[in-house]
Amino acid sequence: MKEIEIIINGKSISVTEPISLQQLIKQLEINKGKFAVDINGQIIPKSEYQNCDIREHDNIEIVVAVGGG
Amino acid sequence: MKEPYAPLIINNKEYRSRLLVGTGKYKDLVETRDAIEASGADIVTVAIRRTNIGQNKDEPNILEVISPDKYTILPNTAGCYTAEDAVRTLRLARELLNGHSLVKLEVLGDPDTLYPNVGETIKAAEMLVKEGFDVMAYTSDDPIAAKELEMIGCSAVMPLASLIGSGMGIINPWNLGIIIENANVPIIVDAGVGTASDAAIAMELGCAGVLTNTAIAKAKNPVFMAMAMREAVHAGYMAHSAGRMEKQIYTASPSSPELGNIASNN
Repeated sequence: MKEIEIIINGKSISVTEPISLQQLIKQLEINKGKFAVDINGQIIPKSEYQNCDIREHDNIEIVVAVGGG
Repeated sequence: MKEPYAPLIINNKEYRSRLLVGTGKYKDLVETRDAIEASGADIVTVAIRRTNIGQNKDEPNILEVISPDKYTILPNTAGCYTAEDAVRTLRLARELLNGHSLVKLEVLGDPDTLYPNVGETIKAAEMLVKEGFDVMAYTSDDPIAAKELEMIGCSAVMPLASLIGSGMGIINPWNLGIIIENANVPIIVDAGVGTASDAAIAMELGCAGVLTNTAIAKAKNPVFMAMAMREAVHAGYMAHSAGRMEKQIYTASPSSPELGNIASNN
């Protein structure tokens, strides 16, 4: 168990290792409909969330669709 | 009888409506939904943004109101200033939309004018086409840039009528005409449409379609304007199909017979 610094949507936060992407998403309470995730520029498919371990300094983007032109 | 109206075809897929609409700038999601429905559009753009973590958990998502089951959702890269950001955004969008590959590329050069950075757009388009995306590329009304985007493999080219959100209509119909004349992919005017006549003019010039957002969202009655745009695009397309009469500069040509006029001395 170790505290690590990661970046989510441009903000630096601390999480406790070990943690999977699936667990992180649950922790952040992201549950509204369709969203997508990339870590360090790599898309993580939904099917891989459970197997994807978050590492120190990971730069994570979690996006949704919004109104736009 | 020959049908004067034909569907829009992008990458061998047919879309009944030649009006494409955006979902931004509406006062709320109910108005968004009502206007989009009134427009009759099949293709509807959305933007891709970071989710607000920990906030507004109960707020409905746009895709719950504008469903991918009913509409073809076209993710855009609004707010991207580099090819890299645009490509990253669209990779995320494709994942979000379960592998859907039709996307709208826009790479901006300037936050005040929102004018497209054509160099970065071309760079991004090349990368995206290689990755199997079907790219609809927003660009300037430069005919060389438009042709280059087509040659790279874009599925449609979308030259601006005027600045995004300006409502100024088509400021350079001549360039648009050159682009249309030389194009082998659909040319869809995007940006700057202000009212129904702008959309009709675009279609009369020979555009394959029109994309508009602000003209509808910022009208005093968006649902009425959506209906007007629907009819304008349809009318403009049919007028173009009909083949308009020639303009005769400084020459009149009477519409009624000249002989037998009771007012004459004949």
